[in-house]
Amino acid sequence: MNDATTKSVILRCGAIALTMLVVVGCGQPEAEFSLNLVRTRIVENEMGTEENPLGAEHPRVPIRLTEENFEEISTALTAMFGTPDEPYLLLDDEGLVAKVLNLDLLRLGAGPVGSDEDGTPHGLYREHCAHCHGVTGDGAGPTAIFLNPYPRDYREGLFKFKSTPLGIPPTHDDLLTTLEEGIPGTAMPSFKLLDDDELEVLVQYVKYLAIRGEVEERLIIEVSEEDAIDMSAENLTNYLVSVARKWEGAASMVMPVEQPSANYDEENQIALGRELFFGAGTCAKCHGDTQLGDGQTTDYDEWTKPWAVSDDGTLESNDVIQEFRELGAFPPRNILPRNLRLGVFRGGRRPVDIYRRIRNGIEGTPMPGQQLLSADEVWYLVYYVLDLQHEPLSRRRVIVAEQTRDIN
Amino acid sequence: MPDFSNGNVTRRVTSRLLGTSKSMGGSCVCSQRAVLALALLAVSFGCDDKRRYVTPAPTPDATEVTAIRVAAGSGGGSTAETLMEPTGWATIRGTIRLVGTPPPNPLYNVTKDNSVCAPGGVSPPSEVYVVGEEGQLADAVIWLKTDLSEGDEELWIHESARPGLTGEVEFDQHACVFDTHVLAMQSSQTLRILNSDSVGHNTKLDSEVSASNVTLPANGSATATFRGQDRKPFKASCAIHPWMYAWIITRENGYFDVTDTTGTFELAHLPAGVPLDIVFWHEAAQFDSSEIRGDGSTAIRRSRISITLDPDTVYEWDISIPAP
Repeated sequence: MNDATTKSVILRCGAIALTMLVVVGCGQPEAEFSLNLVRTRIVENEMGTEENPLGAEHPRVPIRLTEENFEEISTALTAMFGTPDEPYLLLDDEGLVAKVLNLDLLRLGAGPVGSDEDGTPHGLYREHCAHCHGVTGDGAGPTAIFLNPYPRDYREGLFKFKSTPLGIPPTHDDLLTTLEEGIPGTAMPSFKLLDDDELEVLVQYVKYLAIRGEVEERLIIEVSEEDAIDMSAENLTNYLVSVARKWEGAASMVMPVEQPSANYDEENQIALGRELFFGAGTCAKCHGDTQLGDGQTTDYDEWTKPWAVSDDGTLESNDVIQEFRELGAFPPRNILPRNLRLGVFRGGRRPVDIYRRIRNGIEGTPMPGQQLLSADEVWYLVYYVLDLQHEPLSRRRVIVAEQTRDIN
Repeated sequence: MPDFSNGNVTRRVTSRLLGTSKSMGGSCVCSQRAVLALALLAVSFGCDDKRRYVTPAPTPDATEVTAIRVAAGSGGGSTAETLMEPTGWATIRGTIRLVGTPPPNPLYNVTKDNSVCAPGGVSPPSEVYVVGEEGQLADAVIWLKTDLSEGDEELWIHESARPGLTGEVEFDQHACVFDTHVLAMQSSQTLRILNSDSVGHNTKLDSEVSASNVTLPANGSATATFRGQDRKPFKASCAIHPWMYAWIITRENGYFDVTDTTGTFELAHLPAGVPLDIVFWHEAAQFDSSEIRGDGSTAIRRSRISITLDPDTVYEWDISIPAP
């Protein structure tokens, strides 16, 4: 073997070794929960300003949390909820937290994907959810940026499709329904093929991340107001209990669905629904006179508004948007009213689903509830909305005053 | 079938990746450069976890985590605190002024229902800075932050400010502007939301404890109730007319006030002899840089004053905020 050959062999080996290294990667970093930096900055901005460290003659600077503050938040959350690999629950004496969350089930949802010798699966959340919703449940998994709408950020505790009124968390069954049915018109698939036990684990884990997120927000507020967190077990348990109590009470807050008083009568009731759509229901204001969802296209949802939208409803400056983008927020997108002519309803297409959306409104969105209408009137709207998909745009439509009148 | 045992496949793939000729045994100048490039690439990408710009969460203090968990397991570990008792009642009143020329209020960006919302083709001005003739600042809110609910109500909360006040507070809208730009009420009161316009509205209340969003047809009205107090004013808005907004704060007890164009406020009969936190809020003005002159006054820090009042005393505070 001459020198040149040896050299080429070494080089070849080197090339192969390097390729292997690049292909295999450097091992996986341990999964960790990330802090809610977007919420932190919103709270920081509420704290006002302080004297410039350079001296009083310089402009005042915004107050920011310190490294110690962040460490406290991290320590408190770990003490209460554990880590993505080892969940934990700081239980209260009353057993309220245990009523809402089951640590044994959470353990099946947590950790890396795999299964025991007997086939018991582990890491179900990371297997089925985390690529979109993120390990922390921040709706910012690796694929999230490519999706429209963005995956849900659980940490606000806000969920759109539920049977409870605004301001109340969804019930266990509401979340289960979303998992089973998926959300038509979005990237959220149906998980009907999973075992019931596995679905139960996933619902538990979503609730766990939502409750964790809400507690985190309260800790950020405490640290912003008091400079430090009271790290006593009593204080931390109180936070956990106050959030868990909301979730525990959700089932008793379900809005009843009142039955229509008369039998379905296609001609009349759809016409009545149409009248409400343009009249007392004020639906056309946002869903548009042609129901294509083009009546109000400049609004934003509650996951975007707090950081991206100024008080008068206009988008903040590019500098502000960029500041929050660097903290992990996605580019803001307008929330569009549903195009009612497609027959695709995200919260489900059963009449009862449409009834709930109309009666309660949709959490986190501009969609208001119709509390002033009677149950019958809401049903008329349901019939009208469900009929719209069958009404061909080319059908000669009766022109009524409300449809064309320019109220301006 | 490719023979996997001798690494031919890998070599072929590698050589294709490196752009080398079939004869790997030949001159290696080309692959040498490629190897170098590949190494550089690998180094420059590194082994960081490739999350977006977000900085990693700080490492929790493991000792403290264990300590908290042990304390919780042992049934609390709470120490019985000796509560201070109030020694009487004291009142704070004062005036808030904006020093200098306030920035002009921009016009609302009316984009819809113009005949009703911008009568005569003129959009109404927003109400960010509403000031009196001598700079007295309206729409500032002052409230007592300290939680008094733990103590004996007789001692801690004067009868004029007791929780549980009932009745309705009106919140109307005319020409697509909320009549009251800043509204404060007790959380036990009912908010009567009115629509005096000939167009439909909806009123979305972003309360942290009792969010709601109700449709209001032309000339309609609805009510909203609250499950508890909010820690700061929340926004009331209308999704149909996105420029519309106002602020509402609900408090359990009656220790709050909103200034009008006289800039004056009063928190009457506060518990004396106990440490209190009083919060100042305005939608745009920053209290942190304000100057406060008056009895027993301290600097406003983080929009807050911490003070212990003397009984049977009236505190007069004169607060000046430099205009932005």
